[in-house]
Amino acid sequence: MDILQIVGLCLVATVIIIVLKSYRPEIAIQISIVTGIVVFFLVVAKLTAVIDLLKELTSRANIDMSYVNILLKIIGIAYIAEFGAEVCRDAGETSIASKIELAAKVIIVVLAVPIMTSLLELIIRIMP
Amino acid sequence: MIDFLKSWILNIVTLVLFIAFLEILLPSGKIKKYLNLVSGFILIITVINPFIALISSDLEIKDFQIAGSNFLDKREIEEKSKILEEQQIRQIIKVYRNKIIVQLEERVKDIDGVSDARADIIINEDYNSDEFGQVKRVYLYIKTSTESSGITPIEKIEKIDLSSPQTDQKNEDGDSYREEAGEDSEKKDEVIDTGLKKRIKEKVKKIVDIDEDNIVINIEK
Repeated sequence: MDILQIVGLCLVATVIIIVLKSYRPEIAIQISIVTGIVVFFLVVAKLTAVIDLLKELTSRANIDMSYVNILLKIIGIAYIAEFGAEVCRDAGETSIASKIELAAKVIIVVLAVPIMTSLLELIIRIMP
Repeated sequence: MIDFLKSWILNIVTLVLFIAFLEILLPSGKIKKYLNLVSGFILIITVINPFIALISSDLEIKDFQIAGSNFLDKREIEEKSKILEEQQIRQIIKVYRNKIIVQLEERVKDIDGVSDARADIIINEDYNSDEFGQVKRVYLYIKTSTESSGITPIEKIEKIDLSSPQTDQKNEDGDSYREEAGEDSEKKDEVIDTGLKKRIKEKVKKIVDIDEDNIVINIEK
């Protein structure tokens, strides 16, 4: 039933935005941002439950939790960056949207570099 | 052996499932390939992890990872601190200068004969030099108080002879006496001032470790 709530909310928001866009475009953007945040908060509780379950599973399989955490961090960064970039793109600011994506990529690479270096180090050590 | 294989396979299967799930979760953007890269690395590490134990037992892959992330954090903080350093040093100098000024004022006010004091200082602000933060010059504006210099000496009054006919001469005498007294008090003031200045300079010297020539004292009355 959650999907009905969310879709209803989004449809109402869309209609309001279309009505407002010709008169007050700046308020239309604000409504779209607020709608995005509300939808995110409606699903975030479910997502946390699922991710907690997965974390418990991986801890039982004795995988290093730091790797799992890095993967989850990447997912979070991707979501937030995508949200911001979409809002910017809706407002017509494509260049700022691409800057957000750039920042997200840089942060993800910074997270990924320690894993890469450790893998490289490992391979160097293993070789006779 | 069976246990080892069991845990190894369990690790790989769990991780693959986890990564597959994450790929569903990931928003449909350009960031997907980055997640693929990282998850691929992690998968490789999980696959070859048991063989490390066979080759050398003291090898911990986590150590490498921590070292790598430490290195990155360190460099990042260094870069940030470079940007902030200038600003920070300016703030430090400001706080330091204010503290010294307040301290000087309080200390100088404690000296007998000083009712009020204002201080101003010049500090070496070049943070590359060894003498960074050294006080170069001290300016003090001091108000002296008369009460604290002890009991004011009672002026001696000469016996006035009313019956004496030589009033003119007396008047002249009185004038000269008054003049003398004025000179005397000026001299006394000077003595007090120099004594006071000396005491203040000694005290300031003790507080900020500065040459006496660089202490400038102005006495306001």
